[in-house]
Amino acid sequence: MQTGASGSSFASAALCCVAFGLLVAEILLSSILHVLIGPGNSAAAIALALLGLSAAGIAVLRVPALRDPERLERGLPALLAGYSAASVLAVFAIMAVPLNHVDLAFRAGSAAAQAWRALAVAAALLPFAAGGLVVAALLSAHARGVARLYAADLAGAALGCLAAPRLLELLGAPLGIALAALPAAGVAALAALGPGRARRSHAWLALLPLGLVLLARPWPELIGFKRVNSMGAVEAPSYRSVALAPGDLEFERWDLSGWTIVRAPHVPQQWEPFRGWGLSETYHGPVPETRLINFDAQFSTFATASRGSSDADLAELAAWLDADLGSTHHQLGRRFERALVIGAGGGREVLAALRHGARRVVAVDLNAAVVEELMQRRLREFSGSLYLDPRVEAIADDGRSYAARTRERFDLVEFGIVGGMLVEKMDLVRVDDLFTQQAIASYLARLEDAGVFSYLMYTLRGDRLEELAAREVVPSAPYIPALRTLVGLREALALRTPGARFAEQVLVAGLRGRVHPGYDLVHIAASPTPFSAAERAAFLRVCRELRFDAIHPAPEGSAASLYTRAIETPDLARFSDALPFRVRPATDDAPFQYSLGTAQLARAARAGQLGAALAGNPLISLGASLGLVALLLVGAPLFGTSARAARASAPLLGVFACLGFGYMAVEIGVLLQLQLFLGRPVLGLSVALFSFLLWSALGARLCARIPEQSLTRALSIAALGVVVLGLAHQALAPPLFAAALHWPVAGRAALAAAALLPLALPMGIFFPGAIRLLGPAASDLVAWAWAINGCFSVIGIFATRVIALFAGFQRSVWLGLAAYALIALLLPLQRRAARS
Amino acid sequence: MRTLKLAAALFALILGGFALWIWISSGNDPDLPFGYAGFD
Repeated sequence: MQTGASGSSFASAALCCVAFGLLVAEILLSSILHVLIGPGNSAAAIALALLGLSAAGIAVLRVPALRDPERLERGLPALLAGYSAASVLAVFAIMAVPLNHVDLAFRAGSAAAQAWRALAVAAALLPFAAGGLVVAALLSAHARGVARLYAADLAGAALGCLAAPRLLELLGAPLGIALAALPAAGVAALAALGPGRARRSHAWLALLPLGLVLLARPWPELIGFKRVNSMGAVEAPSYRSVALAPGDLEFERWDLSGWTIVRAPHVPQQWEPFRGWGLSETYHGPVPETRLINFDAQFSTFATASRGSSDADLAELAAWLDADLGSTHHQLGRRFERALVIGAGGGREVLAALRHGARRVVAVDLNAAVVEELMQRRLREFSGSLYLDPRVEAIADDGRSYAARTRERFDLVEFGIVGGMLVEKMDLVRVDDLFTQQAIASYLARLEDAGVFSYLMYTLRGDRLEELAAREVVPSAPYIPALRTLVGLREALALRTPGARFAEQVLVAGLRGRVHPGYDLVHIAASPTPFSAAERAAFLRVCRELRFDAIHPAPEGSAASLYTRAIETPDLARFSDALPFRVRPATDDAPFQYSLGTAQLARAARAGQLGAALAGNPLISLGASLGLVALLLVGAPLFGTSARAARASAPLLGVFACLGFGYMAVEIGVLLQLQLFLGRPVLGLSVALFSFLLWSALGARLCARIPEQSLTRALSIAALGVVVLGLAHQALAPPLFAAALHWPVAGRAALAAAALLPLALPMGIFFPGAIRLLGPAASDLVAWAWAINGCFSVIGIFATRVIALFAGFQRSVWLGLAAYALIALLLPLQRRAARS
Repeated sequence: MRTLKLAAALFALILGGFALWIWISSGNDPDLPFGYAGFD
C-alpha cells in the first residue's frame, strides 16, 4: 500500500473533499447564478460546468504526465490547492460581475451584459474543471484501488448534500462555496507535509485559498451582489438597474428557496410606490405602510404595517384589503371560518381572512426566512404580531406537500400569486408541481362542500391570448397559469361533483397590465357548491364598482373569451386539442408548464415548424446544445492516439455511457417521487439525495470484494438486478409512500432512506467494476471512461427531463433501466472482445 | 504549452455550447423574454 501523497489514503481523502466541495458548489452556485444571470442561464451554466468536470478527464487522457503515479504523488498538493483556489477565485470573479439577471431580459442587446454573462459562465467552469483534473488524475493513477476511491467520491458528494443547506444558511452562498473548497486545501497541506515524495514547498500553496477566504472578512462587499433592480409602479412597470452599496440591505438570508432580502428604505424597492398588486384604480383611501421582501431580486411578498390583529386594527385596513382583486371572494357573502393560505409570504391573504371572520388560518410558506425570521421576529412589531396571533398557525413547509399530508378541511384554500417560474426548474430533486392536475385535486379534497378555492396569478394578456389561439402554430408555449388552473379546476370539480355545471361553480375576474404590460392579473374563485344568483350578482357588482374585468360570468353582451370558452365548452378535450398550445394543467408525472402536447406537435409538423416549436422549449434547446458539446467532448479522443485502445475496450466504454445515462435517469425519477412525501426542499437534498449517494458509495465499496474471475458475471447479474429492483421500486414505492404520508417527519425520512437502499446500493457497483474490467488498459483509459460517464450523466439529466416532457418521468425511469439492461448485454461482448 | 492549448480548446468548446444555446433560444417572443415571467 502506498503511503505517500497520492497513496490510497490521501487519494481517498482528496477525492472525498473534492467531491464534497463540488457538490456544494453545484447547489450554491446555482443559487448565485439565479440572481445574477437568471434561472434559465443558471441551469445552462451549471450543466456546462458539469461538462467541465468531464472535459478535465479528456485533458488527463491527452496529457500522460497528469496520470503518471510518481509525478502525481509529487504534484497532488498543487493540484488540490489549485482546485481549492480556483473555487474561491471563481466566487470572487462571479460576485464581481456588476449584473442583475434582469439586465439580460430588458437589455438583451447590451454587449456589456452579454460579456458579463459570459464571464460568469466561464468563471463557474473553473472549480469543476480544476476538481475534475484531481478526480480524473487520481482515478487514472489508482485504477486498481478504484472501488475505494469511487466510494470516497460518492461519500464526499453525499456529505456535500448534508452540508450544502447548512453552509447556505450559515454563511450565504458565496462564502459557503469558498469554505467547502477548503478541506481539499487541508488535504493538500497534509499531503505536502506527509511522509511521501510530495514537494514540501507546496504546503504553502494550500494557504492561498484560505488567505482568499479571509479577505472576505474585512471586505464582505467583495462577495456581495453588486446590483439589484427596480420595476417602478405596478400599474406602469419600468425597469432600472440599481447599484448596491454596503448598508443597502436591512436583511439578507440565503437558503434553498433563494436569496431573500429586505432593502433599506433609502434604496429603490422592487416596486415603488407600492400599494399592492391587485388594488383597484378606484381606491383612493389610505394605504398602509408595507415592507417588500424580495426573493432572488425577482419575486416579492410584503408585510403590512398594523397595530395588531384585533377587529379594530383590521377594520382600519378593511377598505384597502377589500379593494383588491384578490379579495373578490370575500365579498360574496360566504363565511370562511377555517382558511389554508399557501404561499402566505407577508400575510396579505391572512389579514383578509381574519378581517372577514376566520377563526383559524393556516399560513404555509416554503420560505422559512419569511415565516420564521421576518414575520415572527424582525417584522413582528411592524406586522402587529400577525403570525403570532392565536388564530394563525404559520408553517414553513412546501404547500403542496402540506395540503397532501394534513387531514384538516377548510372553508377556504387560497393562493395569492404563488409560483411564477417561467423556466422549468432543473434541479435534481425538485420540480414545479404546485398546480398539476393531481395538486389541484388534492387542494379541492381539503375543501368543505361550501368552501372556496381562491387563486390569483398573472397570466398572458387576454387579447394576446386570443391572437395566439387563432394561430395554427405558436413559437413557444405561452405563460398561461390561470387558464390552465381554471381547466384543472373544471376537471377536478367534475370528479367531485358529477352533474354540476362548472359555469355555476366558478367566478373569474381580471385586471389588465399589472406587473408587466403583457400580462393580466387573474383571480379565480371556485367551489363545489355552485355560486347562487345572489353571489354572482355580488361578484358583478364588486367588479363594476372596482373596475375589475368580470371575465366569468361576464356582463351581458360581452364577447366570449378563451376563459369563458374553457368554462362552457361541452367537450373540453376537443377544445384543448384544437388550440396551438396546451391548456390542461401538467401532471405529477410530467410536471412541465411549457410542454407541447401531441396534438400541438402534429400541427407544428404539418406547418413545417416542428423544429422551431421544439427549440422554443428551454429544456429541449438546452439539452440539444449540451448534448452536442458532450458528444464532441467524448468523441474527440477517437481521432487521436487512444483510438486503438478504444477499439479493444469499445463495449466497456459503451457501459460507461449507459451507466452515466442510466444512473441519472433512475436517480432523478426515483428522487422526484419523494418530493411530495418529504415536503421541504432541504429534506429532498439531505435525506433523499444524501442517502441515494451514500448507498451507492456502499455499493462501490462492496465491488472490491467481487473476485476478478467472476466480475463480468457478477456485474451482468447486478445490472439485471437493478432492472428488476427498479421496476419493483416503481410499483411499490407510490402505495408505500401514500400509506406513510401522515407519518411524522423523522419517520418519513427514515422510510425514504430505507426505500432507496435496495436500488441505490447495486447502482454503485458498476463504475468501479467496469474500471476493473478495463484491466491493463485501465491507467490509459480511466480518464476517458470518467469523461464518458460524466458527459452521459449530464446528457442523462436533460434527456430524462425531455423524455418526461413528452412521456412522463415514469417512462424516463424505464429508459434508465433499459440502459442497465444494455449494460448486461455489453459486458459479455467485452469479454469476447478481450479474448479476440 | 500543449496542455494550455488543450485547456483553451476545451474551455472554448464548452462556452461554444452556451453560445449555441443562447442563439437557439434567441427567437423567443421579445415581449415575454425567455426566463422571465415578469415580477411580483
